[in-house]
Amino acid sequence: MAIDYKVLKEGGFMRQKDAGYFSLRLHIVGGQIDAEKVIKIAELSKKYGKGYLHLTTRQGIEIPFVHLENVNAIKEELAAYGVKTGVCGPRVRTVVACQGEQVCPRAMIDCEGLADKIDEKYYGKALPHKFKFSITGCPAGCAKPEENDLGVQGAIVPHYDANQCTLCGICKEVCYCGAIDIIDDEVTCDLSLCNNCGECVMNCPMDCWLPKIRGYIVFLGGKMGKKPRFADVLPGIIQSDEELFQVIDKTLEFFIEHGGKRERFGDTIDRVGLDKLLAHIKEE
Amino acid sequence: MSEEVNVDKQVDITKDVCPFTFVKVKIALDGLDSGNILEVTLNKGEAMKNVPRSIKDEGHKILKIQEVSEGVFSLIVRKGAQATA
Repeated sequence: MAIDYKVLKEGGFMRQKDAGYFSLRLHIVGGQIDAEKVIKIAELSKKYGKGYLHLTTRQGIEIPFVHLENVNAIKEELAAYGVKTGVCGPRVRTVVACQGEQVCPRAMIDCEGLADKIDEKYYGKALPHKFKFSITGCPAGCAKPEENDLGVQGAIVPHYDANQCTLCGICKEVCYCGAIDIIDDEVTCDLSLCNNCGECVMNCPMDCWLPKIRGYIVFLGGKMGKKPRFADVLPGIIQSDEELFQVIDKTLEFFIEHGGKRERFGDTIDRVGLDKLLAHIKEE
Repeated sequence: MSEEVNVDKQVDITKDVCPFTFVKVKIALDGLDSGNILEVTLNKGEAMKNVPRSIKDEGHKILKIQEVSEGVFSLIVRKGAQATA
């Protein structure tokens, strides 16, 4: 019987150098998984693999050394525990995310929730080449949005209200960008220097700095690998999930239309032009 | 707005480094009842970037901040009601 490796790859079975063995990639979103599922996965690695798991560079889990004859059996057992197999090849890959506002004091958005929504809508979608999403809570960028095909970062635009201000200077002190200054007992903010990190809002003891806008900054066309490319930034701050998903839809539409076979999105942008992509995203 | 407050306890973290700066503040707050006032003396720089924010995150209220000498600040903190001891 001929083995259709393409079909196996779509189902997350990565062919190993050892003939007949696969490293089975699992479907994990934003690096979060129920502890109970981890226990089941560990048990299955003992039954069908070599009793160890590989934690991938993109927050995933693989079970190495699964033999071809056990492919269907392990898939069925995983499915019974609610664990799906992952994907490889030219399609939307694992969505990575930092822990976001539920855990991190600096995060400005619900990264896990957004990762789930993106995963639900796009995971496994066929494209000219692999396509990686990343969601990160703030400009510290722990989930590295600049090196993903499409990165989303939390952002706020601060607004100053002098009401309770004691001119303590903490905001000026914590501002990474030198956007805030205090001249003659007056607090000023140059928003053109602001990186939207929200430190002023989070630090002000008197709550004089408030988030005027809370939303997303989108990064386009980043990648690592043999020819790394830092992402381009979509100008402006996206203020709703609806708008964000429109941008994602438009971006993927552009990639499907213009992307060459096995051409990464960043290379498509360089070949076709960032201006064309931005114009396409803006189109109604 | 600068009504006088009676300070119940003082802590000086000007000679400490992160994370001991906040640890000392936390220990000082642990020994107080909610509503009590702690005065924290700290340096500009790393401590100013982290300590006020951590105090705020843990549910306490910073009532007043003033520069007491060049680069040294005093924070007047009221222990929060919900804050865990």
